Amino acid sequence: MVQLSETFLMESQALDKDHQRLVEMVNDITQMLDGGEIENCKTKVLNFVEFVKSHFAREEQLLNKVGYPNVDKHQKHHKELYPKMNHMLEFADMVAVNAQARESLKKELVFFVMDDVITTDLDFKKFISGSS
Amino acid sequence: MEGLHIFGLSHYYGAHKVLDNASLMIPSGELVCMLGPSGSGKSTLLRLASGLEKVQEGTIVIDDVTVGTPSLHLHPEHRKVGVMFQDYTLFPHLTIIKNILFGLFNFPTDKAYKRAMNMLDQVGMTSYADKYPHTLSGGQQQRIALARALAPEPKLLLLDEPFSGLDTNMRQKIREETLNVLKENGVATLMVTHDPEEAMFMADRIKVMGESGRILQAGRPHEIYYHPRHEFVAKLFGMMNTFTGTVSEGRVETPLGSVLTDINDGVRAQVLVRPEGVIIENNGNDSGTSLEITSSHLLGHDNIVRARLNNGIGGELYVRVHHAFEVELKKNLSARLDPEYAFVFPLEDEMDLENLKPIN
Repeated sequence: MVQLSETFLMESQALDKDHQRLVEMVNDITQMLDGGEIENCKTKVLNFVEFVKSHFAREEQLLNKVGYPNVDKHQKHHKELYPKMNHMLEFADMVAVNAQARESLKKELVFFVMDDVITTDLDFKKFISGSS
Repeated sequence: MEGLHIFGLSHYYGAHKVLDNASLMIPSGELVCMLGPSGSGKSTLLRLASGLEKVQEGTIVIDDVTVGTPSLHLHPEHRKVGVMFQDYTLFPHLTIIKNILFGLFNFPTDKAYKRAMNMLDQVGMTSYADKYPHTLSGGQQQRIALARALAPEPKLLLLDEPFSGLDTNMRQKIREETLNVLKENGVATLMVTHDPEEAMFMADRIKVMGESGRILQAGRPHEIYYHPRHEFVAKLFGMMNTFTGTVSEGRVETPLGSVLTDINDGVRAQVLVRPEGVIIENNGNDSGTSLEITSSHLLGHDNIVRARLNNGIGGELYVRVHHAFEVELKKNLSARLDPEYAFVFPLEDEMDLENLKPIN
């Protein structure tokens, strides 16, 4: 189980709420896979991907609104994460028949949310808190 | 969160920036490998995490405890970190068991001894407890160094080029054993290496560092190898065949066939093709370009073949082919490329690499 401990907080209510939801979704999928409930895995990963996309859109809108100077680069970073999400969906297709896919999906979800998404967002934490 | 969390880490030696806004996260039980050439800042990152260097910019958190910021420096012995250096740094005047007991000064004597023996057992070295380091082989010393680093039950294990002192055969065996011991202990591990094969073998996740201390790409070994996002990352895994061209209708033409790309039409681009991405066919057909083999070197499982294209333009190719390929038995050869091993980058990236921003 992963937790959104203090060092991962952005001190922006909207972003922290989104990040918390992402962490909950990852934990939910992990728990489900560990418990051998794999029937709904694909749906849950699809929901996760949809939520990530909507989070990216909300975040980019916020960054534009506050005038974050590196918004284009962050947008590019978001775009580069799309193939990773496609790969997660491919893993989700395989979890019923492949134990390796279950393990890889769990790892990938954790690294994706905690490192690729939240830790990268910490780059603009100071800017956001300064502007609010 | 249990494990390591680093964000916004930059570091200078004098005016020279060796780390540029590096961030990473390792949950307990996972192994992340920093892969990069000498001077890319990976060892500096490891020294900062261990507490051997003070943080100038950024934050280091281990198991939810902030251990390093510009205004806070927790000393190495208080960080719950185990470190294994490339030369193992065993104490030559102490026996193996005393080497391991050295780090267990906080444990009651009987518990310390039990833990030390348990670690020796995990690495298969109990019968060497009373020997001295100089009587052991390189591989055995590596095992002892690993046991010593893990004995105090660290929250984070740092490995600095841990297999570079071993010969090829031993390296493979020790890597596998080390991985098993690490997974058994469930510790978050940060390993630095310049050896791509080592990183691919060991890591759950690889972070590739560029020459100026920036993280250029992060992902599973498969992703880094088959989907490099930068020319630098692609070239890190060995020799490449390079072609240049202009993007037209979403493709770049090469003498070995065209490659799809999402780069805009009209942009000058380079196509990098791994040696295993060139497919040589016997009795050449219309789909490939005719070529002539100029040299062939058997490496065991593979052959590395050097070839010249007979397309009027020339150009040399490096091709990796099956060991059964015998150049003496071939004629009318032709080559085409496997798009899976071909990567397209705008030529501007090559010139602008210094200005790339970190991916994460």
